[in-house]
Amino acid sequence: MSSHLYSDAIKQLARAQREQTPLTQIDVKTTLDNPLCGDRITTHIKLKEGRISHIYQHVQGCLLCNASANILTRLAIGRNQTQFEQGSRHLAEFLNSSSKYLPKPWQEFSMFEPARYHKNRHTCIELPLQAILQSLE
Amino acid sequence: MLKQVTQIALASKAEQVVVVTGHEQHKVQQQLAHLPLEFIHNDEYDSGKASSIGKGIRSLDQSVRGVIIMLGDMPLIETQHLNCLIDRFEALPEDAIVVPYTSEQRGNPLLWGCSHFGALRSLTGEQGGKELLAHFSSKINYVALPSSAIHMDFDTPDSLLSAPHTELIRRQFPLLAQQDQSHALCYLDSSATTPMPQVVLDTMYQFETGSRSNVGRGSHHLARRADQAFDLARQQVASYVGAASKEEIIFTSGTTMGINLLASSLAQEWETGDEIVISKAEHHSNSLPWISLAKRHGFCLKIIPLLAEGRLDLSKLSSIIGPRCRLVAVTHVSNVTGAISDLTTLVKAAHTLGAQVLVDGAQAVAHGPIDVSDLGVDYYVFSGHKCYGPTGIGVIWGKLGALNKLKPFFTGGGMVHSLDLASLSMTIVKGTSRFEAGTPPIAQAVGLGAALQWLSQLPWAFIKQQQGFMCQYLLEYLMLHDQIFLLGPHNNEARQPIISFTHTQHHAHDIVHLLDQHGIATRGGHHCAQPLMQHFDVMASTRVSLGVFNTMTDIKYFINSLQQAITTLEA
Repeated sequence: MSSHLYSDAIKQLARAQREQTPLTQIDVKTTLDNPLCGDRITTHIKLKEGRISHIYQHVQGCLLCNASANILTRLAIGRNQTQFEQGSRHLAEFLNSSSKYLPKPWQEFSMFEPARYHKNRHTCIELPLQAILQSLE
Repeated sequence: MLKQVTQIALASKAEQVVVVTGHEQHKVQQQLAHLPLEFIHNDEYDSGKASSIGKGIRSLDQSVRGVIIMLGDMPLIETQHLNCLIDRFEALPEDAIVVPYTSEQRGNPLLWGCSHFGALRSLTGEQGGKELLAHFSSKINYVALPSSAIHMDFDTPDSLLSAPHTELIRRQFPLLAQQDQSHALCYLDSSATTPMPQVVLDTMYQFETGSRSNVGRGSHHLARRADQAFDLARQQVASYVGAASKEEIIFTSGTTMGINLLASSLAQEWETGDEIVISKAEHHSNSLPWISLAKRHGFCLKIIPLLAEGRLDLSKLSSIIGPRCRLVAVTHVSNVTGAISDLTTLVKAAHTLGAQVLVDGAQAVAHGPIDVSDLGVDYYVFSGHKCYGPTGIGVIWGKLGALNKLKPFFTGGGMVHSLDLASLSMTIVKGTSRFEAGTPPIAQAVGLGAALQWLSQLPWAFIKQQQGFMCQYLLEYLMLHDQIFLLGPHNNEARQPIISFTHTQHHAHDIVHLLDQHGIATRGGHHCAQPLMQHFDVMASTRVSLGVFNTMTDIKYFINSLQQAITTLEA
């Protein structure tokens, strides 16, 4: 089960995240820590009419956190707080197995299915999304 | 091995140490040349050990009252073992023979009174002193030495390092017998929680099924048994830490509770502006209580900085510990780096200015008995689950005089003589009970007592030697790896077997997760020591911490698995 957690797809996303470049102009900057392990994510956001127009996330964390941030870098554009609140709920339900599938547009997170068996890693995956939510509040 | 044996003998109360050489005479003398020993060579060593005993006895001064015949292949014998034999012999006649034993059997070495020197000289061939015991059985005086070291001999240094009794220790832990994901469990997370040996599990089971009752209040037979078991546990803890009496032992739920209890009690005697000193290396359990206290009462918190390797920088202590300092609270052993704090310097500096010293011993107690009087500290705090005992139990040791001055900070059943609602007055009991309001964790205390009793009987000279060897091996491997950054001392001096590291490309969580696939339990994260992690400019590290059951096989397996984990992450 654990071996699938470190799939090629997740590793590729994590590598891609590390190659992201910071934004030159931002509206909101938020730093969020994972109290369990000391992971830290800093989110830089530029907004347009309450929706994210540009995003950069600096991850000082594990491979899962980086991969999750990379998915969100693409998903975030054009979305607002309400949509991220829904996404946060869907992801939490998927990880704790109370929901079998993830609805659109969040299906890409289903690659984290093996993490269902590792509760201590859920926060790693959820941290980038929580940081965005905090930025939008 | 021989060097160790002679050093142990030299450190004892024996007035003269004679080494009888035989095979490789010059090599042995060269190895021991710097030590204040007398050498006697036995040309007839081929004829058996009796000739060596005879040579040694003949070399002794006429005034010698007794002799310990110590064998070179028993390096786990400790100085205190020899002193126990000597102390016992002091009051005995010259025809006495002092024999060490454990509950199982007689051991070595023996102390022979001078009346037997003639008989010892007359031994022949492979005869040893034990052959004479049957003739002089009425002269035998037994001394209980509860250590397996008196039964252990080793033919080669290699046999010492792969000694089968490590396996015997390991077999006492049911937790370690399990297979995890098709791998045998390789447990390298003792700094977080140690497993419990069977004797602790049995003791707790016997208590819960045969004596479970409340303590200090009931008068039925179960309550009496529970009282006895609880008292014995307190005595066992007192013995392990070298307390003057069991009245100096307070049971808590753990280190965190112990430090919070002391913080709240001590604060009642302090004034705004008084100072508390902690270090940057503390676990949050020994920093957050003092930070909260300082904020709440207006105390000033001062911080001991760190050297590059993470050890406490005591060079500017005089500017940190001032006349208003009331307490210095520091860790004995870092839970991240394994570094042992220089308590001698700290205690001297604090006591000179009238400040007390509290030591967080959570990471030290599992590595051998503590002597609080030798450390010279005022309070020593630790948890049961980090020293092979159960969770939910901890200990405060405090000097009796200091404890008697403290006011309890939480109240409840069992800690007052009288309570009058009309005047709202209460008379608080004396002794440890006033700090243990409510029903204490009784079975856990009984388990902890059993754990410390068990620990005190282990062959510590051997364990420390073996752990030092394993630690050095792992340190050398990690230092050779370009992308690994070691947190803490890079050498094996003044440290316990706790090693943390980061990888330049891979996060500790990923490494720990993949190690777990190999059945290896390690810890990744900030280890509740964020200021120390900031000192090293890292967010998280992977920590390997050894217990008494670990072997070189574990270390080699860890290294191999770490390489595989890194390969997986980089594929």
